[in-house]
Order: sequence, then structure tokens, then C-alpha cells
Amino acid sequence: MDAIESQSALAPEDAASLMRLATYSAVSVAVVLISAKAMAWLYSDSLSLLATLVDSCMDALASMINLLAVRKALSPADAEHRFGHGKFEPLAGLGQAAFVAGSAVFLVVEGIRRIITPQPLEAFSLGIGVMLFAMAATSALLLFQRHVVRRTGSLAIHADSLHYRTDLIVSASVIVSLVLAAFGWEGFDALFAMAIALYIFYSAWSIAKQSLDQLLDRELPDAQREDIIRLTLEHGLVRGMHDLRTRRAGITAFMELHIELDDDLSLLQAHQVGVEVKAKLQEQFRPAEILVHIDPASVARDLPARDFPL
Amino acid sequence: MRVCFETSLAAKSILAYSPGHDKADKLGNYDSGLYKSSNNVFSLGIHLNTPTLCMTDSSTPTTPEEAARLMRWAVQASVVVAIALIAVKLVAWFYSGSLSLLATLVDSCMDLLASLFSLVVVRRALSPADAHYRFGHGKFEPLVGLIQAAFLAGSAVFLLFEGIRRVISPEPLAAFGLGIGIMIFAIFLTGGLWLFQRYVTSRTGSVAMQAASVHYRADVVVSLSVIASLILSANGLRFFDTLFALAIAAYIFYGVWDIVVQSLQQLLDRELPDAQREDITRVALEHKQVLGMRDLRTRRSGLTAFMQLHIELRDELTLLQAHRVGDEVEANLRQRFPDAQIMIRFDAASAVRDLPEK
Repeated sequence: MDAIESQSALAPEDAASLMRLATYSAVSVAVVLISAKAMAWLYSDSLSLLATLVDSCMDALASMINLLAVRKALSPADAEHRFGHGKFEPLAGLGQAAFVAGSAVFLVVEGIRRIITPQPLEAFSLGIGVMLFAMAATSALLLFQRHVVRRTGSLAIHADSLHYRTDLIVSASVIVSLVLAAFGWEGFDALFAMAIALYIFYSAWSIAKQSLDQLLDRELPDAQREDIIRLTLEHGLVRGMHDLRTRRAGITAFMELHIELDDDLSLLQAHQVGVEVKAKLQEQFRPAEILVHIDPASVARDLPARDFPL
Repeated sequence: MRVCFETSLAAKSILAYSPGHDKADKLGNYDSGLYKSSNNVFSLGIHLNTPTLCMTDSSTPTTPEEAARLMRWAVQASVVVAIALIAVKLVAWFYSGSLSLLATLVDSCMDLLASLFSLVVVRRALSPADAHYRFGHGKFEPLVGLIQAAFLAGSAVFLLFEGIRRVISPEPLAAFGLGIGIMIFAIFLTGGLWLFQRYVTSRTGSVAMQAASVHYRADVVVSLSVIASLILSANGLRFFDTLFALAIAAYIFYGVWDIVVQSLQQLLDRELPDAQREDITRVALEHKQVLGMRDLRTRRSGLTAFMQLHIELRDELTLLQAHRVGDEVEANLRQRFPDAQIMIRFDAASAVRDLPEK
């Protein structure tokens, strides 16, 4: 995720409040859209409107689950989860990916059905008005969510924005299909549906993969690992380092590393070096949980070689 | 990580280390250093579904190699059993053309699919750490658990619908002689597999193995219930097959719930059970040079328990001496938890004394 790179500027508390705000906005937008569509449906009795209404209800449900998951993920560590609750975020991401993939399957089935038995699109003017309104509201939400993802690197918000993005594309494709149908080119809606479904599958897969990476304790990207190594070795008293291991849970990066110091340092001095290295890393990676283990250089020299590089 | 300690030390040292201070205090609040162990918060934790781990069950802990070998055998055995059943049922189906046999044949094919999937992912879970997964691949195991649970829940839903359908439109059970013979054969084979998987689960504490044993236990119960229904309906007592189907579905859901909770606990980095945490604390403090310990954090990833803790040592020790104490404590812990990854940090006792009280 490119978003992770730029998070260093943001304090953890600000990241948390931004993320909470993003979940509240998503739920609010969904609720506003539901009420607008419900009113338009009562007024017009259009079946297509009812379908998009059902869609918005599903969005609201998914966003509410996301809201709860993000709240939980941001809650501080407790006796039962001493590493924090960050992993609730990828779990929510996995759930959203499944949800979005399900809606893509529905789109494919719908698209095939329309290819077999083509249906004329009904150009309902009220419907188009509602759709344009929905597109405007969704776009605003998407822009805000993108901003939050950039700043925090939050996987859950990224996943939540996925289904709003697909909604937007579906709405746009319906309008384009209507215009094309007016010019006599019919059947494009089914084609669009298939193309969008493919795109959704691709996005769902990328969210699922990122979620699994976190859940399965995959290493941070190489660029960040190299940053950690560089910052650690910059300290004047650090003779070397080994066994850097990193993982990520929600917005928190976890890292543990062994630094090698002169044998004859006192425990208190050695400790001080460890604290300094840690503070330096903490400045670059926030929020991060860092465990620095101190090894005497003579002991570190005798360590067996690793199968894979540092 | 001793967050609280770092901040307090930073405050009086040269380091300008204000960012994250609030968070650090918050994180430090739940810490129960030894002096506070009388009001341990964590011992009140709710453990509805505490995993049965090898370390708590048996006095002789299973070595990592032994556990890995047992698990590989168990997944290979389930593949072999599934293939054997498919072969036998296929032959019997060709011979008899029975529709009920075809249904159980489909069931066995699904079992084979699930077993093959487990085989692949469990192998991955047992593979050593590599450059991409430096904490090891243990977390692939709860992932297997989760997917097996979804699979099982699906079959329970199917049973439920089938049971309800039979209430609405009752069908006479066909007592096919060959079918019963095969079913009894299947019961013995799956029953044996289930017993072996249960043994492996108790030895390794593997949630993937537990999921598999719940699966095959359900298969055995379903087969038994079909035979029982046949006998009961022969005596004029009908509808028992429906009742059985509903009861078994409920039973499967119960097992599924347990697996899901345990898998999620691992994926979400939940602490080890209190008994094990207390063991760790006791073993660490047994060493004479260790003045105190704090900030024990544990989690589990497949077969591997991860633990990190801070021990407090005298300030005057040289780094080399302190390191030796750390190594000794680690060795003591490893005797008790052979498959653990242990990260010990040593704190200078004087620095630790300045910690804020909870």
C-alpha cells in the first residue's frame, strides 16, 4: 500500500480520529442515500430504484460492521490482547472483500441473464436525478476516504471505500448505457456489468491479500525494512544488528531487532543505547511497537548464519 | 515492549521523546509487573473456549519436530481415508446404481477436497520461517481452521434444509443392504481417523487438526444416525431421520463456533491461557539473578507460542553477564515450552524502580 509511506507525519491519535470520522461519514452517506432512494421509490414505484435501494442498504450494513471493527481495532491494548486490537482491521477487510466479491458474482449473473434475454432500459427521469445525487454524495465520500487512507494506511477504510467505488462505477455505467441506448446502441449494460465485475474481483482480491498479509504476520515492505536497518546502524555505539522481524496489525507496525554492542558496556549504558535506537525508530514509524534486544558483540559474532539475509 | 519504562526514562534522559507519550501511558496501564501480581487483571479474563494445548495437558511437552510429524501424518491419513472411501463407494455404486450411495459418494468427494486443501496449507504452516514470513508460517493454521469451519457450517446448513424438507414431504428410507455394509465400513474408517486426529489435537494443540476432527466426528455421527433411523423406521418409528438431522446440524454448529473462536483468537493475537502465563512468570523468576520481571506479552501462531518479557537485573552487571542470565532464563523457559519463540529484554533495575505506579 502506497499509503503507508506517508503516515510518518501523523500522530497516532490524529490517525485514530481521522479513521473514526471516515467510518461515521460512510454510514451517514449510506443512510442519506437510503432515505433519498426510499422516498423516490415510494413516489415512483420504479423497480430499478428498489434494486439500488437494496444495494444501499447492504452498503449501510457493511459500513456499520466496518465502523464497529475500526472502533475495536483502535481501542487500546488490554489484558487479553496485549499486542493491541489492530488485527481486527484486516479481519474487517477480509469480511468486506467477501462481501464485495459476492456482489460481483451477482453482477455477473445479472449480466449473463441480460445477454440471454435482453431487456430495454427504462429511462426514468426521477431515477436519473436520484442517481446523479447518489453519485455526487458517493464521490465526496470517496475523496475523503482516499485522504484518510493516504494519511493512515488503514486497511479497513481502504476496504470500505472499495464498495462505494464500485457503486459509483455501476451508476456511471448505467447512465452511459442509457445514453448509448438512446443512440440506438443497445446491450452495453450487460457488457459493462461483466467488465465491472472483473474489476471488482480484482479489487476484492487485492484487499483480501493485504488483509491476509497482516493476519499471517507477513514482513513489512522491503523499503521500510531498509529504513529500519539504516536508522538503527546510524547510532554511533551500535556495532551491528541482526534478526530484524517486522509485522503489522492495523495501523501499528511491530518490529523486533537485536543490536550488537561492546561487551564491556555496563547494563545501564547498554540499556541507554537501546532506548535511543528505539526513540529514533519511533520518530519515523508511528504508531510502532519496537522491541530492541541487546547482544554483546562477541556473542553476536558466534551466531550461526541465517538461511535468508537480514 | 516496556513502553511505560521507556517514556519515564526518556523524560529524565537526553532524549526528546514526546511523541506517543499518551499512548505509552495508556499502554502501560494494564501492565502487571510482579509487585502488582496480587491484583492481576488478566487472571479474571473470560476463557470460554480456552484451547486445549499440549503444554497444559500432558506433563511431557511435545517437541516441535514430533508435533509437525504427527500433524503431517494426520492430514495425510485423512486424504488416504477419503480416497479409500471414494473408491469403495464408487465400486458399490457401479454395482448397485443406488442413488443414496451416489449422495454419500459426493459427500466423500467434498471431504477429499477439504483434506487436500488442509494438506497443502498445513504443510505451509509447518514450513520454517523465510524472508517474507520471519515469524514463521504458523498463522496459516488458524486460517485452515476458519476455512474448514466455513465448509462445515455449509454442510450443517445443508443438513438442516434436508431435514426440514423431509418433514414437509416425508420419504421412505431405502434400506439398501450393500449400502449399510459400506456405511459400517466407513464408520470404522472415519472413526479411526477421528480418534487419531483427536490424539494429534491433544498432543499439538493445533486448531487445524481440531477442525478436521470435528469434521470427521460429524461424519461418524451422521452415518450412525442413518443406521439408527433405518432400524427405527423398520420398527414403525418414522421421522427420526429428520430429528437426527436437525440435532446433528445443531451439534456441528456448536463445534464450528468453537473452531471459529479459537482461530480468531490466534489471528487476533490473543494472550495465551492464564495457566501458561503464570508458568512463564514462575520459570523466569526462578533464576537467582532475576530481581523482577514485567511486561510479559504472549501470542500464538500455529504450533509456536511467542513470548516476550523484560527481566530486571542489577545495574552493575556487564552486558556480557546480563546476556548470560537472559540466555539461561530462555533455556529454562524452552524446557517447559519447547516450541516457543522467546524474546527477553533485560532492564537495569534502577531504571525500572522509577516506573509510575498503576
